[in-house]
Amino acid sequence: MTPRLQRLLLAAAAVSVLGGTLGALSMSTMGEELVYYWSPTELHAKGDAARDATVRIMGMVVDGSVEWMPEEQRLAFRVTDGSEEVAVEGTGAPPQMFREGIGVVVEGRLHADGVFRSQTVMVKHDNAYAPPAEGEMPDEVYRALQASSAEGT
Amino acid sequence: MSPDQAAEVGSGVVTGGWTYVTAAYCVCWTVLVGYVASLWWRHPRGEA
Amino acid sequence: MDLPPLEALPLTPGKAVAVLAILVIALLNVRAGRRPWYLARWEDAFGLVGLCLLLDGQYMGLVDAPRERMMGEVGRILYVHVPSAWLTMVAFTLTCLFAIGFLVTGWRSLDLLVESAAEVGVALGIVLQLTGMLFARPTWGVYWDWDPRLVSTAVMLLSFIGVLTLRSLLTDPDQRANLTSAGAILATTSMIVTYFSVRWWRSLHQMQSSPDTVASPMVLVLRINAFAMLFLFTWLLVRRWRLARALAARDEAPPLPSAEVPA
Repeated sequence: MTPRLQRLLLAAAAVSVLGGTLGALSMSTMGEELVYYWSPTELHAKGDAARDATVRIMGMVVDGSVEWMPEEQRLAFRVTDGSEEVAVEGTGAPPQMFREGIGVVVEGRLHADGVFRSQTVMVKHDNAYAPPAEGEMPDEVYRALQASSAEGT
Repeated sequence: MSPDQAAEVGSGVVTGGWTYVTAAYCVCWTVLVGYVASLWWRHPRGEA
Repeated sequence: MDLPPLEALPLTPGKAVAVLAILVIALLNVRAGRRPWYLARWEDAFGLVGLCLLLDGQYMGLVDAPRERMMGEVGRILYVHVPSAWLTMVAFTLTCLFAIGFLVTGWRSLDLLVESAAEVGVALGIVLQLTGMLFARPTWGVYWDWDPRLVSTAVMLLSFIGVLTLRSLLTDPDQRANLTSAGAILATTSMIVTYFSVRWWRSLHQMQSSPDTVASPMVLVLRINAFAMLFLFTWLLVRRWRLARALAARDEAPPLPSAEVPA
């Protein structure tokens, strides 16, 4: 085998492995079985199989469902995928980007009482980046929030 | 968790965080400068 | 930050470095009596332009660019993270093309370019991974999670580090060149998987941004930083290639004939 033929065969083999792997990955259903998170609907569909296993679920924080108990460092909220909801309870303060309506990925277990208890709340934001709207600087938003919560207590 | 951080739960707005910004820009410069230094360091001596 | 915006500065950091560099190089060359600075290696011009663009681009990123609506100041990490991601992809794409080119033609220079592009890609990939972690902590809440995007990026970096390690262990030049190129083509799989990971699988990482999803003043700053990185990448690639050539020439040079030289 001449060196040139050897090189060409190597190239053909490597390129076909590359193409084959990518083709198989893009066609395969691995994405459906080995998922990073479940939606609330999928969590419910698993039924008892989902209990007592550590899983991640992803959903949007339901408007008006967030309850933060600073004394106990406890956080309660509900997440939705548009059709079903899951009640989540976490310990510790969530990331600063956490708010009503934002996507979150929570890692934890579904307990028998139907509450998903989690130690890790992660924010899944979208790919939009924009400056604050006219007259709305982040720290002003924050101060306004602080002021309103101070009035409330 | 400081009371300050607790007070802003649910705001959805990241406040501060300059440490992370500085660290990220420093990482960029450190790696670039370090890589250029390694190019210099690995070059055989006595050659242009 | 109370620094003035870039356009208000009479001399921007980038322009200042450009003027200074030209003065220093000219002075050094005049004193050393060597060839004039404008005959320095062509790629050094790319390096200088890249450096100046990066200084001004990052100044804009830190001072001029608006805060992000929700991320606040932390959104500024975008201007290092995203350009480093683009250039890592460019570097590994070139690595693959050089590798195919080498296996088809057998040109030695292409073999050296495979090694060079892969190594520069790994350096940029380290910037990508570390800035990504520093971006993730204040926004998502964690430095790291077993998310498909993060895992595939790490696998991509390890694949190319593996190819470079394999290369450093082989001694036969033909075998080394062939296996490096074949390995680089295989490692490219992980790069393409990394690119598509956010589309194929569910992940914590958001989809790629585009000018449609990023506000225009931010797009401008991103573009300047991307071009800065592109120029710097070109400079690093060619410099790394010259290093590879110098090392190869040294290794192949016949032993010094000093012993045989008659007195």
